[in-house]
Amino acid sequence: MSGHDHPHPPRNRWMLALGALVLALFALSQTVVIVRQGEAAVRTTFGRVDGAIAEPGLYGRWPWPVQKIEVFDARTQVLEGALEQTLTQDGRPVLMSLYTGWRIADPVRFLERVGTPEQARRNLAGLVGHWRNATVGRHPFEALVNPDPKALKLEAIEMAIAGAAGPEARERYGIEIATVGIRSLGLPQAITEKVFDRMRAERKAVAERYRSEGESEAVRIRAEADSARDSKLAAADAEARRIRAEGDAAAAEAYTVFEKDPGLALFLRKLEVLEQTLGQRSTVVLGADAPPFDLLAGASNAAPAAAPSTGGGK
Amino acid sequence: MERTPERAALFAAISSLLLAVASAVGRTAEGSFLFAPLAALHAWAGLVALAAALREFFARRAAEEAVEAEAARRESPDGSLFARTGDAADEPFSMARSARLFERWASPAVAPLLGAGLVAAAWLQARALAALPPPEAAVRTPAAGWFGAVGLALLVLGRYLVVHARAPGRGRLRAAGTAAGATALAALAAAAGCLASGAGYPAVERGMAGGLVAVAGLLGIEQILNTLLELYRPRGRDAAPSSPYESRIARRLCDPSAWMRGAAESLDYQFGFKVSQTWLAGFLGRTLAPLLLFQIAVLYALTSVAVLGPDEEGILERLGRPRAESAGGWRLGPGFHWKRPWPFETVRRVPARRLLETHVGYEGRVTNPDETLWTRPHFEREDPFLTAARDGATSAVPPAGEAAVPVNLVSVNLPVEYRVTNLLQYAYGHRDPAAALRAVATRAVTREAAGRDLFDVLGAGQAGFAKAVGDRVRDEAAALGLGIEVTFVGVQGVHPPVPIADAFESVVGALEEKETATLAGRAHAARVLPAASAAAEAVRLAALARRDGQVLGSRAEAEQFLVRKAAHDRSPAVYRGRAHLQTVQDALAKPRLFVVAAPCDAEVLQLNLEEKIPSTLFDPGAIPVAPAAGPGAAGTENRK
Repeated sequence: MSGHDHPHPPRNRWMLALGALVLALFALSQTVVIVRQGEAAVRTTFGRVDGAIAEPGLYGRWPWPVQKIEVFDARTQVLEGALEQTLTQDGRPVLMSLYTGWRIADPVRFLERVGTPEQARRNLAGLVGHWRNATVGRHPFEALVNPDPKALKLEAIEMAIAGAAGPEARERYGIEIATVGIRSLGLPQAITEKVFDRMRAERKAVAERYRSEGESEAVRIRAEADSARDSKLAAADAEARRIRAEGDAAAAEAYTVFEKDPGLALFLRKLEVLEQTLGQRSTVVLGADAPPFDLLAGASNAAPAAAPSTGGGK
Repeated sequence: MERTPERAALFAAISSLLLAVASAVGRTAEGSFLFAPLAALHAWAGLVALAAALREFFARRAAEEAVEAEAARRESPDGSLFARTGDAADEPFSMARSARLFERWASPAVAPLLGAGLVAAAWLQARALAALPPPEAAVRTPAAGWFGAVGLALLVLGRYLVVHARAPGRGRLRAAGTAAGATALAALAAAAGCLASGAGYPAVERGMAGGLVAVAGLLGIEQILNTLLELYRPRGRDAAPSSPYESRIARRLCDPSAWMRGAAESLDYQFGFKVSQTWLAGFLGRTLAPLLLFQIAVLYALTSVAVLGPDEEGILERLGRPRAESAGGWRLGPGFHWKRPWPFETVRRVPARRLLETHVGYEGRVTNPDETLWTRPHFEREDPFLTAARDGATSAVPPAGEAAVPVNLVSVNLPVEYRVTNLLQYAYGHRDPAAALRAVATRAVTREAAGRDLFDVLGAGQAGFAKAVGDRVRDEAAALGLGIEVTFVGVQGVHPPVPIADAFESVVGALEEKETATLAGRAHAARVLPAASAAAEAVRLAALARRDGQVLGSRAEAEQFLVRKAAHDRSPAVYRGRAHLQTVQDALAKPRLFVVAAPCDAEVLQLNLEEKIPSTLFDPGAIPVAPAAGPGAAGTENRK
């Protein structure tokens, strides 16, 4: 049986072209590398480092596994550390989070010692954390939080951490530490709750003080008003007494004319009193000898000179 | 018989086994877990292809042996020492016998062995995958290129084998083609996973690895089930040899024609006529591959075009570095730009014309956009800052050396707006300038809050606090070389932390209560004092009126007296008597009057001058009233 006994499967030239294109791209990807601005690269041959590529551009290489070009991001990266607890010089626990700006300064050493950015972040976190604890432990708590800004030592702490960790990072990892900053400060949860309790109590005291001040102010205003009212009334009463006395004096002055005939004055006055005191609902009991009722008893006309006797009651 | 397909199957077997080894090495070299399931699948595809190649080899050699035997018989038709007496397959050391033995014993053993191996590999890899730490984004361009190239190469190879397997007598090759095709799809999926990880989605890579492990396990289970079904398959002596190691799942996955046939049958069923037989369907079928290539070419040509939005500017990189000024410069503004195709020139886009924004003190979305209250969280997460606390009583700074520095906590929501001013610094200085700015801004708030009293931050000092933070953010951003200009730093919100916000509000409430009590006192004063003034004035006026009345009355009385005295002096007795009686008359006109007859007081004269007099004066109800003639009549009564 020959191979020509069966018809050939249809040869698809387009598929072959597609395959050739794919293979060409694969070959290209295995032999050419573009290093971009902001990147650093290291060329290795069978695992041995040939050297760093510092400048961006197009670089050729032998395909894997002969040569390999490791490309790293050489721009500054920010490592944001977690809030970690440490002790101050006076033994107070404090939570501190640092951020670290770092970049690859020595790509060859970075490749040999670290390898990946993830590992670099882990290494840096440990290194910076170590120097953070050592540095913060030399400062009291009041150097971290203080109402007097001159007493704060935050910048000094940051510089000390960067100054201590920077050379080590470069020597051990090929990494340059560009900046270290204290991102945030905090207190452990239990202490934070206590701080909340104290702040709450402080606010409560202030509130009570305000309430008490309000009540005392109200009482004072009421008392002042009552006092002013009483004073006014007393002054008015005194004034009224004085005015009434003036009236009495004027009346007494006018009544001096009664001295001309006191008997008559008294008689007339009695008549007025009698007339005014006997109202509609009065009941009068008189003797039958009282004029003019003496007439009822058959007496002769009473002498008008006789003084009438009156009595009555209600 | 043509040997090319057989050699292609052998090539597929060897290359797949080599790829399995390379993937096992790549797992260590590249660090991507995707290499592990790919190694298992490559090994499976290689062994399947090897089995297919061996079967093809035995079949071809048996056919050639039969042809040679037939030729020898024709040359010596009368018989000879080596004349065949029975079936060729029964002759010892013949290729036909070897082929029969291979089909009988070796071929059925391939499927269970592959199935067990795949299941075991999937089980181990699943356990290893579960033990891995959380995935992190990583640039895996070499791995993605490797997977992509391997996938496309295997796709072509598998397609070649599948097409040749359609020829009569070549069906054994189909298993190798489908296995290579399925592995090619797995490699392409792995390439996509690597690209996703590089783009910042490591979970996609992890999920893809898990999916490939699952596919490997599924294929293994299928191999075992195929073996069991093969045991119960009825077979005759002339039945064609089966391939229990051929995966139906793989066949479905990698044979697009099967999908196309299924789709065509569905269309035919739905429309009621042979849609798949129309000219359009035929045209599409013929031109599918050229169209695909054309689309790829168009897509690649599009890499020569860059279109930047109105808020963007671009840095044109030629072979990785910004294009030199002599070649036209690197800066691209918004609009349409021609450039050399990828990878020779690329454009790095920067939102240089847009105001960008970051924030400090909170994360997540606004919890309630309609109202912002201290007692409710403003955002999904708020981070309080430590502030100093002066002695509340004296407002004095604690003495130096005092260990216990009281602290307070305050929540600060600080938006920071900025814009890009230096494209090169922004693009090449920092990997994530926004993260750097956020860190700087958070540091500024921490630093400024730590040096101020809580009420300097909350109260009137808020503007100063915001200014100090803004100045510090601008200085730090400039010092870091972020390539940005900070245009706005505002304090959107400063408030006590939510757990103690109610205590702060209670102080405000107490202030209101204080004011309320004070106002109540003032209201009392406002009510009392005018009333007192009025009462005092009334007293004074009454006294004045009394005085005036007294003065006038006394004067009038004096004048009246003088007149009366003059009258009296002319006839004193008459005047007195008349005046007396006139007064008695007037005074007694109204009252009830009892006249007691003296000296006998037992007789009482009752004069009813006005109305009926009660029954008795001294003992009401006991003395009967004397009969009277009528109203106004007089009567008498006796008293004991």
